[in-house]
Amino acid sequence: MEELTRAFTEIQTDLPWKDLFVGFLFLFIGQVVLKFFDKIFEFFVRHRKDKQAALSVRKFVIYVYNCILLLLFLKLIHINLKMILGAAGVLTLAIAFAARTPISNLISGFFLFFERPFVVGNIIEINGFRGEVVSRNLLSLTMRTLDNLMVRIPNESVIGSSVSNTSYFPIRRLDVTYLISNKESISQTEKIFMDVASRNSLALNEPAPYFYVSEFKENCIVVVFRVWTSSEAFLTFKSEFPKELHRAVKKAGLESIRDRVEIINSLKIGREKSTQ
Amino acid sequence: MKRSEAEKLKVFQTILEMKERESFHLRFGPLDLYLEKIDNEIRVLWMTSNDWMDSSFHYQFPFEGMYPDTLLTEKRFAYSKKAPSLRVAPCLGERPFVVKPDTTFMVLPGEKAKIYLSTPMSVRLSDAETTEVIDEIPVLNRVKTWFGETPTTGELCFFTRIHAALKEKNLPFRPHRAMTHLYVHNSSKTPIPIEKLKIPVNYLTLYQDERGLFITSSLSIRIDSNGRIKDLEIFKPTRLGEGAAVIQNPRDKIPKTIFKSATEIMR
Repeated sequence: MEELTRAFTEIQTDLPWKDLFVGFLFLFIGQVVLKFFDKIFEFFVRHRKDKQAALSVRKFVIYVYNCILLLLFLKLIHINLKMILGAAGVLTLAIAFAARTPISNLISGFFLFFERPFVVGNIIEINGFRGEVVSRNLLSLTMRTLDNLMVRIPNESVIGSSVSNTSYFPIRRLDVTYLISNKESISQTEKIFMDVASRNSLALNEPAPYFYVSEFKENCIVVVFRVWTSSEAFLTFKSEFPKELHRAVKKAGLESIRDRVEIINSLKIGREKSTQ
Repeated sequence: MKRSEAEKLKVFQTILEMKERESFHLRFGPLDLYLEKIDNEIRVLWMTSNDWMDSSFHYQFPFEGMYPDTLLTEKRFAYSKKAPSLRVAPCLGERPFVVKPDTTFMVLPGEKAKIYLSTPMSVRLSDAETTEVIDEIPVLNRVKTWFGETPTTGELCFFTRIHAALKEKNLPFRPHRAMTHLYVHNSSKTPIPIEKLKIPVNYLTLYQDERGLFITSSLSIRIDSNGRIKDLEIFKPTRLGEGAAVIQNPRDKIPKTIFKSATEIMR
């Protein structure tokens, strides 16, 4: 501590104002140069689909550049770096302990950078959060959940967790489970479902839709209809397509299990009334 | 519209100079398109019948009739100053088209086949002066499809049913579809069945030949005995005639290798 106090006293008494001016000018020019190259960099990466990798490198280069700039500035204004660093040496151990987590995150971020399980804009599910990746940083991942919350997840946690990426492949499959009354024809139901899929502009015709019976129950048949759509339209498709199927079933006059339950309930009520 | 009347389609090469409150109507296959200029705005209204075989063509300017009640879609484009003069012209789709001929073609070993195919176009509205694109309206509501061996490898494309023919005169004429000449050279020892074909329209140029027909760049592929594409060429179609014009340049830059395997373009 005595060494530190002495260093700062020296700075105060022997402060060379001219050098200080040169130092700040140097810092200013350094920042202008940085901005200039940053603009050039932005120009070259503007059409890249995945800018995130390039932006991570950019951040790293800016950190290193600014550190070097700061050290040169301190040298220019005649601050004895050896003394400061020597005095700060005692703090190194404490810093090392404190920086354990950030360093771990940094290394994890480095591995994620090469593994690339997702890119900015992808919809992912991780640690119970489901949302869009907003940014991938050196220490953490930032995502916006579907209910519009911002979530920051440390890279260390990302690398140790299972991640499911729903936007990784361009197409996705929607499985619709539907219950039809066991009085109805399976082939007619299949035809109706296929017609709905062929009319829907979001349903892909290849891979072809697939219809199968999953289970025969006491009062109904469980059918599953598998249809593919583009990943970008998946949410719209998921919300609209089952409704369309149901409308078509109703229009064709088929009895869905909901109708059957209602009929049974009304029959029961009717019987109860007549016995009373 | 008949093929012999295709000369009328050359109207797409003209600039649409609309005055205040003037309207324009285009019937292009199944698409009905109306444009109207009001003050500093351009109103675009359209509907499509989805009848892929519709071959009507009708161009009326100034349009003095009434808009049908069934018009579905409307867009309005606002300008700070006077709305610009427009160019209304067809263009090719923004992603490849998968076409399925009515009947499967077989290209026998050692044979070369020239197949005539057609893909539906869109109508592009652009500023006649700056050539900036204002909007693109597909003539048909396009269905998407996946063209690939597995759900993980392939490409999302548009899908259309077509008539494919070995002679141009046998290809039914539809004014809203652009014709593509595909040359397939089978240098393998087995016949190659063609059930579906992927036409990478985003890499093709659209021309209007001297007769007024819309023709894309031609494609030529040579398939070796391992089913790999040995050579793929995209080139200007022959016999366009002196009065031919380029209507649209390729949307995307052609990569060094578009397709490696024959399964990436045909199935």
